[in-house]
Amino acid sequence: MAGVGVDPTEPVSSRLFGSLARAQYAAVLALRWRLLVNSLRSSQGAFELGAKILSVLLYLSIGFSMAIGFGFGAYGMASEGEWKLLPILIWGVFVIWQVLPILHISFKQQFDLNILLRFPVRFGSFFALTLLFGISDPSTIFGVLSLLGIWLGISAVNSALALPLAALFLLYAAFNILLVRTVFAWIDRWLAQRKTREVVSVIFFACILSLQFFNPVWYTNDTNSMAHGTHGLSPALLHIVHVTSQYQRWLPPGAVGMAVRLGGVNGGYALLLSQWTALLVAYTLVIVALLVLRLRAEFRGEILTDGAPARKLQTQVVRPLRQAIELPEAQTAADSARGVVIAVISKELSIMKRSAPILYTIIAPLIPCLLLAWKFMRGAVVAGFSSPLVMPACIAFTLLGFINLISNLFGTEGVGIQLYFMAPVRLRSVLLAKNLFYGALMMIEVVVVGLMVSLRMGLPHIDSLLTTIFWVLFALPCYYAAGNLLSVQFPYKMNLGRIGKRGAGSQANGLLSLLVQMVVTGIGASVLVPLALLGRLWIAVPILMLLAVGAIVLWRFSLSAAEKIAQQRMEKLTGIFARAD
Amino acid sequence: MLTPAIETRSLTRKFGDFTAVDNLDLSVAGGQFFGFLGPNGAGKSTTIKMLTGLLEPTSGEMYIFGERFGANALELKRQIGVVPEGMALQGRLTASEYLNFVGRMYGLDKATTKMRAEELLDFMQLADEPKKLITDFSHGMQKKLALAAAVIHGPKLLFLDEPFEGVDAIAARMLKILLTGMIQKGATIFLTSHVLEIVERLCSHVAIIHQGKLVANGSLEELRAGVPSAAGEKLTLEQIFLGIVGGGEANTQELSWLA
Ligand SMILES: Nc1ncnc2c1ncn2[C@@H]1O[C@H](COP(=O)(O)OP(=O)(O)OP(=O)(O)O)[C@@H](O)[C@H]1O
Ligand SMILES: [Mg+2]
Repeated sequence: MAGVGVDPTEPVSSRLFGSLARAQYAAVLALRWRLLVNSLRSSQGAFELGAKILSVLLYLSIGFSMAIGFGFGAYGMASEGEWKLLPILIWGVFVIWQVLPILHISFKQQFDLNILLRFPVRFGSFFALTLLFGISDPSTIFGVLSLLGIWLGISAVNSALALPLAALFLLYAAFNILLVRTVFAWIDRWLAQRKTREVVSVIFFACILSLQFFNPVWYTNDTNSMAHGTHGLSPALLHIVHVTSQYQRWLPPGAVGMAVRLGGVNGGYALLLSQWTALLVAYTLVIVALLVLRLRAEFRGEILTDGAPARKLQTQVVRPLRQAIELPEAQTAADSARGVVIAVISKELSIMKRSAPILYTIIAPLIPCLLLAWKFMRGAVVAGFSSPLVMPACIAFTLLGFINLISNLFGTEGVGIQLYFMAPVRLRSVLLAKNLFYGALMMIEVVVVGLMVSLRMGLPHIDSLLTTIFWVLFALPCYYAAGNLLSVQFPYKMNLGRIGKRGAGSQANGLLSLLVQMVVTGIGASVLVPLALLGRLWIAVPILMLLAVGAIVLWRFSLSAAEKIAQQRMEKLTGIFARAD
Repeated sequence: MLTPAIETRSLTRKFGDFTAVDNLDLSVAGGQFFGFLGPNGAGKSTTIKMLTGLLEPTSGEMYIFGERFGANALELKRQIGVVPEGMALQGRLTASEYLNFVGRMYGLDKATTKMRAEELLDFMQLADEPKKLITDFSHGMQKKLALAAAVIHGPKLLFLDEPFEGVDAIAARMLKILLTGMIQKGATIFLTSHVLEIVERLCSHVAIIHQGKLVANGSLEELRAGVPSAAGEKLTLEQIFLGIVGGGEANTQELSWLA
């Protein structure tokens, strides 16, 4: 038949690049393109695109500075033949690539490729497309550019290595991209069940707490006894390299380091033929297999859910309602506001309990705080960052995890947001409730981090403690004020079920809240750092106190301002969550 | 004359240049079971959204129980129950959690909310799976839950956008019992549905909207009188509807490539 396109006699599941598959790739790309073009019809969509471009530029510039740093590092090591130090850089790339997405997950919904499942799409195509979308993650950009830097650095010294090294690094990049996906796919799988969710949280907290208690015992006499290092690297780092080198080489980044080292010493293609490259290939294959396992399940139409079993169905008889359902007496405004606040808080709690991404966001920032507190245990001073500031720094970082949540307060609602416009409630009560809910969570976390840091470093000085408290009282209301406005101005649908399903959402929201964080942190730092360096931290207390008062006034104002905006933008707000997409 | 439960004056809603609801003048007396009909895209849901505070009218006025209705008419909203077009459920709650949430939002105290939630779940046959998330409910189960949520606070005026869509025969009968019960107690119900037999059986008054404009309004008898029919024949609502909206001549053009 003419004009139908794909030859209907060709078997459907023939090849990854058969005519049907190619037509499908083209259709998906065209779909993405149409979605983009259609989104530009609204000014919000245009704004989004602008913000997206801006954030990619931002990521690129951060990535390029990383690349330069890594490049010079690699150049230095290669030119001095210090190949054994190279694993530091390779591990660095690995950490950036893997840890960044773990620390900062987003709730933005991905362009959901599961829509493909009802079409005659073969698994290979599904797999390829899944990998393709999401390649513009910041962590991928950073990782690729950093690797590029290392490659340039080494190739500049030893041009014979350039080609084999490029091949090796391509493989390493593929390994990293696949690993991120695999990790998230499996985390989702595990966290989808309530049981594992609970078990994982308990184990996690137990680990954190026990780490706190045992660390001092393990590391009582480490750094002092170590030889002073070369190349200005901190002795601690060299020590770590030294101690761990026989183990880390068996891990993928270490294997890459070993392969490069072989290449550097023996020249050229020895690198590619080494057992270390083979090891990396093996790792990559294992990761691919694990990812295929997960995506196959998804491809077959798996839906991750708690899957509460049904009780035995009772016989269906219509029973009349026992009591008349009547309109209650009207309440006073204060009473009903109180009721609304309580209702919203308990609802948020139920949702949080079940949402792996929310739980995860709240817990993840605790990890680096631990590491930081550990590093500063002996009052070490690094780049003007003296230890009285560790507490505020840790706490500031902890709070960052919440930013996504408090900048998109209605993201947890979905279509349910309509209720707030139908029910007899003031939106400011709803916002207040959500602010209180996350505020309480943040406070709990601040106290936990505070305790952890104190356990590591001893009780903080009273200056440090007071500055921290007032810093929190300043920063939190600022974040909330901004969050309330962003929530009604740039809301986006959140994916509360899956961590691994990330992707394009509201770039504008993300960028603006990042800006707010930078400004708030900047103000705080410009007060704290000079005073800490001068050893006059106590002066910061009254200044922060004043700032805190200002911030709280601002927050109060933001509640009614956000309510007003929400009422004006009601259709946009309900539309974003209610409409099919 | 009693104040009508719902009254609109020149109610208009535009989306850009497109007029979805065009100068609608509607009056629904208290205690009426009112059916609001029209073909797809006629403007029914848009009207309900405006009357329940989910959408701002472009122009015109709305009065509920004689009082002007708007976004800040909290006391009026308290007396209204809604099953909106999208059902407005919270996917990641259980049915009972959701009902408890809604009850509190409408100002019920905790104990009453809990009691009514349990009873409604029982009534709607949704109590069998207390741990299941709403997101995992079937479509019909979600509809029933949305209806339970709309009546938990005992509204005097109920707006239902296609409550019968997707519910089984048992549930439909249950709904009918519930709704007629509410009417008997003096509530007013404003309902849209494409299931004309149900509307015919339940509703005392019917209005038909077509391309945003009101084209018929009155009791079933009044509507019948307006449509020509063979002598002695008693027209069904479907015949009346097709007669007024003009879908009589079916589209005979075939899609030749369909098997
Ligand atoms: N947010 C919107 N933006 C633009 N047009 C809209 C919007 N909402 C509704 N419309 C248009 O208004 C008209 C009426 O829509 P409405 O949803 O009220 O129809 P309906 O009578 O409920 O139809 P159905 O029986 O299919 O539910 C339609 O043409 C629809 O496309
Ligand atoms: Mg409709």
